Amino acid sequence: MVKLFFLLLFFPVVLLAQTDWQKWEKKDVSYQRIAPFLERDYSLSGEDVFGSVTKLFINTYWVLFSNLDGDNCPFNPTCSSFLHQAAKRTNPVKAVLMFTDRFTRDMNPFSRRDNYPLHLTGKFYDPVELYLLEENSVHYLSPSHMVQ
Amino acid sequence: MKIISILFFCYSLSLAQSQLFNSPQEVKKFADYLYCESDYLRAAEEYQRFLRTDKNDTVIFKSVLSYYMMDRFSDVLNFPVSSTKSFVFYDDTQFLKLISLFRLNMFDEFDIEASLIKMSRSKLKTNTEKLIRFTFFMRDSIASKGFLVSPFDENEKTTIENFYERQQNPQHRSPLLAAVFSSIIPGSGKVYADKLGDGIFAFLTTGVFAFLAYDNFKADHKFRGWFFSGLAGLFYAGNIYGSVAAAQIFNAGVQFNFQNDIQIYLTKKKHYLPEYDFCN
Amino acid sequence: MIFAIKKAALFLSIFSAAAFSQTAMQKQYDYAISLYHDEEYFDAITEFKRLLFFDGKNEFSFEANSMIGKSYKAGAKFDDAIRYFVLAQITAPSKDKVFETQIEIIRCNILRRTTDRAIRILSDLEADPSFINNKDEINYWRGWALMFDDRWKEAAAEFEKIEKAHPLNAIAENISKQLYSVTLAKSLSYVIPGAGQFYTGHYFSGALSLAWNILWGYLTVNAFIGERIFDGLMVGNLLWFRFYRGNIQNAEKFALEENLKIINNGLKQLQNEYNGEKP
Repeated sequence: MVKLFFLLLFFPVVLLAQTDWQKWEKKDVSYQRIAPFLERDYSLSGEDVFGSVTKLFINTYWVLFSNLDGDNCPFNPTCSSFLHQAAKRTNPVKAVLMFTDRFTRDMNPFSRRDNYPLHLTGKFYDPVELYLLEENSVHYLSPSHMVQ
Repeated sequence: MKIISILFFCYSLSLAQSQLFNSPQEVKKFADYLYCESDYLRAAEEYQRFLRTDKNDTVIFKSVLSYYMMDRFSDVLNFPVSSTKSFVFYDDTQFLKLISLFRLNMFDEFDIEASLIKMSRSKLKTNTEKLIRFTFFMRDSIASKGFLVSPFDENEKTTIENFYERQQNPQHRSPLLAAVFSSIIPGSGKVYADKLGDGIFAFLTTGVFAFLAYDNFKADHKFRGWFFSGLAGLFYAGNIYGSVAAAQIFNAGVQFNFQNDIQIYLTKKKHYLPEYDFCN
Repeated sequence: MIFAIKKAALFLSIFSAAAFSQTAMQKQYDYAISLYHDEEYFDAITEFKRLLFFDGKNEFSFEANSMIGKSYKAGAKFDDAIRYFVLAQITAPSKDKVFETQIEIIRCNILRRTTDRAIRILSDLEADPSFINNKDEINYWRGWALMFDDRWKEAAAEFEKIEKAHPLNAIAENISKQLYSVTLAKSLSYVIPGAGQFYTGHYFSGALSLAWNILWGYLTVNAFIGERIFDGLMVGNLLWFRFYRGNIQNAEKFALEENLKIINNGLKQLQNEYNGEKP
């Protein structure tokens, strides 16, 4: 009777389980765990002169301040990374304006869940692309989805 | 003689048993079982195996349907099917290809396929017309309300009319207006772009720095006065910039939600694909 | 005499026919097994499903379901693997096979890191009197589940139950001794800013943290003494408190980071160098 119960319980589950809609190969699973900690990228490679100078300032800020005052930024990328990415993609003036706008949004602790999707790191995803004021780069990120 | 016949019968039977899994009929039986278990990839492969030795219209259609059920639209489009009306599932297969083109957003090819379906006097002509209407929404094309609503039943007309209204009046926010509002009252542009919290904090930030600047100038602390003035100016300019960006993001959200609602509605309607009861 | 020969020939023919049909099933099973051994797991599952479909008498039900489970496990599809192991368990022909399948389910749970389920199943097995002779195996897999759950000291104790000089006992014990105490790291940082970082070997971070806390603390106290209350509140709240809290967060973070490095090294060693049975 118990066997029949398990049979009835699991057959519908078997019917619904459809991971085989793509052919798959053998996969070796690593025993090691993934580190969930934020890794800073301190490298200056691929930067022009202005970019290198900006990156040096940001690296100094990270080492002397940001790495010591705790995990305060609720966003991914962090505000300093946001500034760096903005400077790379645009010009210094626009980057500073984008940064101050990001700083203001950082100060608002309310309704983040309704406005930003969650990143895999547990932070709210707020990329530079949305604030370039270029029509092609603005795309809507639904807050109900998780970003990888 | 009798013994030889019996012997021959028994050995034939045993030989047939050894062919148990490989005969076309048994391959088809197994494929049908896999199909009903929703194991579509395996079902499609078994159907392909069957079709190498036998021809069967239902099997051909179920192969295509298996790929469709897995959202493998390119495979549906590339599947070789008979282009003659003698193929029992000709209309259904053509419609499946039409839906695949729709779901791949290949609207130019969709138009061609839809015309062919209409010309061939398909039994799924009404379903085709319904899908054509939705391409007007997806491509943001202009059409009259009457034309868009015409092929739908009474119980669907209200929903289609709502989509039409949303397309005609998208409730966008003007980025220029957002910038103007924020230049007059810091943060108001963000409120206009439906970011109330951000607007309030932008107002408070600019306000606090402006007050600190005024207070320090009043107390004759010139350095601090200029410092806070600079910060106030920076946050004021940043807020105007952010208001423009917020309006753009709002508009992108309106467009996204509109298209998303259409996709949800069509998924609920299964893109007007008829129900096929192959498993009972 | 002739009648006897006829009877014998007829019996032989019917027997051969029956034997051949059994051979067909066995052939299918052997073919599916060959695909499994060739690591063609997806196709192996197809053939085992074909066998199950045509096996009207359920003679191969246990073996086929079990092999489907193993195929899914090889493809790291543990949810599906467990489902088929459960089906195999239902049609298991003996208690030994039930135990064997339960162990497979436990191994899948360990690999997909649902170790609490693995431990629960092991407890149920231990409580079952029919598996009283499998105590060592139960302890062995409980040890593995505890290692994957980062409970190294308890894991070492499990392996010690099997054999005092068990190789996994030494490995688990060694890892357990190396691990930092997160509570101690945080407590040290509560008392002396930077001390937790020193404990975990992050001397530069610890020294900087201490320096910042001394600086902001001095400025805050100085502001209050000078009756500059607003300045004192601003520096105290926005700077001193922020860096003090950051110091405690870092102490915890570094302890967890270092522990993860130690654990990952241990797990890597277990995966690549240990020759015994693994999940």
